[in-house]
Amino acid sequence: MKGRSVPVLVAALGLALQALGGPAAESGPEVMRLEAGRAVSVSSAALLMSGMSGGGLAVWPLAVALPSLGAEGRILVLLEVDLTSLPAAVEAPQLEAAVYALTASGEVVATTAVEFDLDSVAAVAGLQIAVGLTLPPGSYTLQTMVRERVSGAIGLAGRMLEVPSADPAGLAAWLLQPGASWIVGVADPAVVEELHAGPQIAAARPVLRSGDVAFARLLRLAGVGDRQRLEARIVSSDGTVLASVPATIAPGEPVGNGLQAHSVSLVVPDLPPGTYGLRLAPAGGVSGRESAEATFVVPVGSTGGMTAEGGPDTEGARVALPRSLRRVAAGYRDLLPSVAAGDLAAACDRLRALELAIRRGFGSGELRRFIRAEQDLIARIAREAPAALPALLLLHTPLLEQYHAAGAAVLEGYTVTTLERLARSLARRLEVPEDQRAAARALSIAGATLQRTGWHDASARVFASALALDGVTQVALLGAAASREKAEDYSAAVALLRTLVAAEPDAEEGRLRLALNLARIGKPARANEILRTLGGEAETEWISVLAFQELARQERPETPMQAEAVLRQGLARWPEEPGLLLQLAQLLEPEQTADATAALLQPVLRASRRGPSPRYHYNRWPRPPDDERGASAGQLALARWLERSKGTQ
Amino acid sequence: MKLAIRLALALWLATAAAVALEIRIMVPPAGEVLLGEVEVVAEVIAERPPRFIELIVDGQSAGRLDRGPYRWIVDLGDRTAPHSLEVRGEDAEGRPSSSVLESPGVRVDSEIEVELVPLYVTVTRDGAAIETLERGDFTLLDDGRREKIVTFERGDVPLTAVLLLDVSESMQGRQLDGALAGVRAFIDGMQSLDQAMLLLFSDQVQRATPFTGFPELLRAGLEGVTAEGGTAVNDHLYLALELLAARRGRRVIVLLSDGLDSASVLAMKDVLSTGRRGSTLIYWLRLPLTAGQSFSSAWRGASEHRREMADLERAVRRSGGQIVTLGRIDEALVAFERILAELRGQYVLGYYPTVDRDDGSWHRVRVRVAQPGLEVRYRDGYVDD
Repeated sequence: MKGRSVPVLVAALGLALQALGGPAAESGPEVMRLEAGRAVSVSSAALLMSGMSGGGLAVWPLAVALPSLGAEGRILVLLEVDLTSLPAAVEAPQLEAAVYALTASGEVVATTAVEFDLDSVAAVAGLQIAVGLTLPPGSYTLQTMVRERVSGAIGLAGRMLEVPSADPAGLAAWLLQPGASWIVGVADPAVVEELHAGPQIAAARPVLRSGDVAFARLLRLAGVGDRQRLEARIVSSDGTVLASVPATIAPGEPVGNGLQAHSVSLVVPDLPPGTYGLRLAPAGGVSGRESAEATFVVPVGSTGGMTAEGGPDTEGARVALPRSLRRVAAGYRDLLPSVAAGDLAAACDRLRALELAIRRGFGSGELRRFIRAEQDLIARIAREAPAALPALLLLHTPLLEQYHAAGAAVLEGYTVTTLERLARSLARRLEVPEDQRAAARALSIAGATLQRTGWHDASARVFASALALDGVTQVALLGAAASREKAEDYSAAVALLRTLVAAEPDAEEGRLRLALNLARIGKPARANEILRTLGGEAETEWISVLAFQELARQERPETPMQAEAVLRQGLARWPEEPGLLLQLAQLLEPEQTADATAALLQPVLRASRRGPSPRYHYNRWPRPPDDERGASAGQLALARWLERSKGTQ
Repeated sequence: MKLAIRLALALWLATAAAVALEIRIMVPPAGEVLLGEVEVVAEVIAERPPRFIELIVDGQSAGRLDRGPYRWIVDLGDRTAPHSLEVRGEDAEGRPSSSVLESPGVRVDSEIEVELVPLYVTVTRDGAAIETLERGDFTLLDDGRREKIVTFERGDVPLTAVLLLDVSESMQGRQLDGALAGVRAFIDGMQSLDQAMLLLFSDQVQRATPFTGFPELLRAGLEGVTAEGGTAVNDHLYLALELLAARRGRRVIVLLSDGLDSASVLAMKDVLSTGRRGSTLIYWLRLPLTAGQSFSSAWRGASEHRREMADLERAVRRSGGQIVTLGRIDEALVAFERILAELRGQYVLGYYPTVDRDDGSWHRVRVRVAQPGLEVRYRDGYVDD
């Protein structure tokens, strides 16, 4: 292998880690010294400048801006290559890796490139390439590329990077993973000291399971915040903080440049499968800077996939076909304890497998009898324990989405019917206010799913049931109004939204939807008044942007100059917002050259980095609430009913 | 004598210090008009490796290298304007040095601006291309006036294309795979002077490449694509038209989508007003709507959706392009190949309009061919501005 390994350094770091009380020392990575400053090929430069991400080679970048008191920030960049994504024929990869730092306007301000050849990837657990950059404070896009020169396989990945101004309280943190059998190519020996901690190496995208003890490395300026307690904040892909867990910090050790490194450990909370961010921040509500986000993945469990024809995949549907429908009905009852215990995902998987097996293995007559048997049981629960019905709602609602995605039209339609029946039963039978409120929330989730899958009329009816139980459930009011809007019944939408705004005057989405529907029923003056306020003051970006867009559309026919002013006001608040730019370009087009219009629209090409568009947000269902309280109340009621009804059919 | 030696030594040291870093621009050569993608190569002579060498194009940095070879590729656009290329750097001690190349623009001596109107014409019989016609077989009418066909070409006229691909959530699974296979077929069929841009969209741009003649760059843009988000056909068709309007040559959009718009800020009539100004051909590979797909959105009811769809159909036909309805997504590959074949076989008729008012008025164009039984497709007019 080309390069030079540094076993002494790795061993020293391993001893240091043991002293810090980290995990028991094991063999760490093999570190190869690389030379930076290689020139990238012409076509690679074009790929890096294009801003694209993707490619056949899976590359995960990690970019960390270190705390500094100087005029420039030191950035550690790690490219983690998934060796399984290398073409099978490549046994001795010859890799080229490059990093470009671009400003918001696309100007390249820093580049580095290395070459990294390996004799063999057999027995190599993973591969990382680590380089360093220096950048002044500001916002950048890091474009990274790894290319295998023989096969031509390419992996491109971009990351936004904030380089903070000199800040003594700055934190830099990243997650660690075992480094045994890993190869790390570094262009700067200081990088490996800073990124890795002996046997553990920095991880760009580690896989963590709920309950795991995760290790992280924290760098901060020496002597700053030594006694500060920190917590780990787990965030979803849209930035919502899902959980905060305590972080245990070991004493720091100096690592040069005035920095000290700490080993940090935390327990991963209970999370569903997905990709998450982790940030370290001062604990106990103390204000202070958070570290930049580190990414990790919670892997998918066995949920049983579905084929395009609507049948389960062979792994998911290991359900013995029942010999009689009496047994079939018992199959439904048999999964109710899982529902009562809160394991809705497992119960949903089993119910789907059961219904699909019956659909495929029996005739339509048997399916109808199964449906009747299932409905009879639901009706019995409705009579004897109506407070348990929300739990059944939460069992059937995900099925609707799964059947819709798989094109299983018959079972989708049946599930819609089940949801509507549950909604009617709930509206009729619940009397306790707390039960009613919990049911309203569960119905809102079902209504939102119905709307998302295109069942607008059914969603309107389910939302109506939710409102019958709790007339001021915000989600239900929004959902019912959205249903009416899509059915072009704008007056009904206005009535619902007026109720919402009267109860929640600060509800930005409610006010926005009210304004749009007021305009549709011929009340533009009132609509524009609301839109003007929302455009300038709404805290939620998509709401403010939409307000500016719709106000400009209202103004344009009579006063195009006013429309232009509105769009420019919007762009002043939300620079480079694609929809506003498109409207402005189209408005100005008769007076502008083709070059000027094309230049104005260039930021639209970078739109995907901003997230879903405002109009897409609006067209989607209202965000359903987290229904923990409602679900648990229904589950408790179901558990009690199951206990009471033991031994009965 | 000693003084002479000391003076010579001082002069040599001063010269050595002054030329610690020497930069020369080797490519492109001086005096060449620069446009499109341009390779820049600099030779750097230094006693010790310089700290960096940077390319500045028209005042903007185009990249910095720590080590040679010092090569960059930059897109200078399609206008034959003067450009300034500066390669600058710092030696090991931080002393700057630079080399500048000023490229010329194209002199325009004539003050008369009469624009040749190009018309791209497809001639078929029962769907098969007819490629044997001559200039005399065509009659061209502009607002009813017969015009003289000044230029007549057929075949390999370079094209500049936007491949506009719907990657919204309705394209998940096999739909996306089939669509990507079709786009790859188009890329594979491009010729050396063709340029294309990949524009993948849902409710917003998901991925965009620059206009390029590198098929490799376009293919890389198709890797790792996922289908997600809503559909904003109008907005992205408008975007494609505007990006093409700033380019020269035969402009083509190939759109693959079911056409159902649920998230655009622009209406199709807004897009049509743009399409009328350019000479862009629009081909629409139309996907059948997915079973169960809703025709209504928060933005438009069912009837308004139908009107938008009809407007899109009209825009395509008036551009001289074609709507190809795909029964199955597997047909996309052949459809893309056929579009490319049609473009290669088009006739290009150029003429100077007899009446040139520059008043923004619409000129209706008619093309007739002498032989009966032929289908002739072309843009039905242009805006005089």
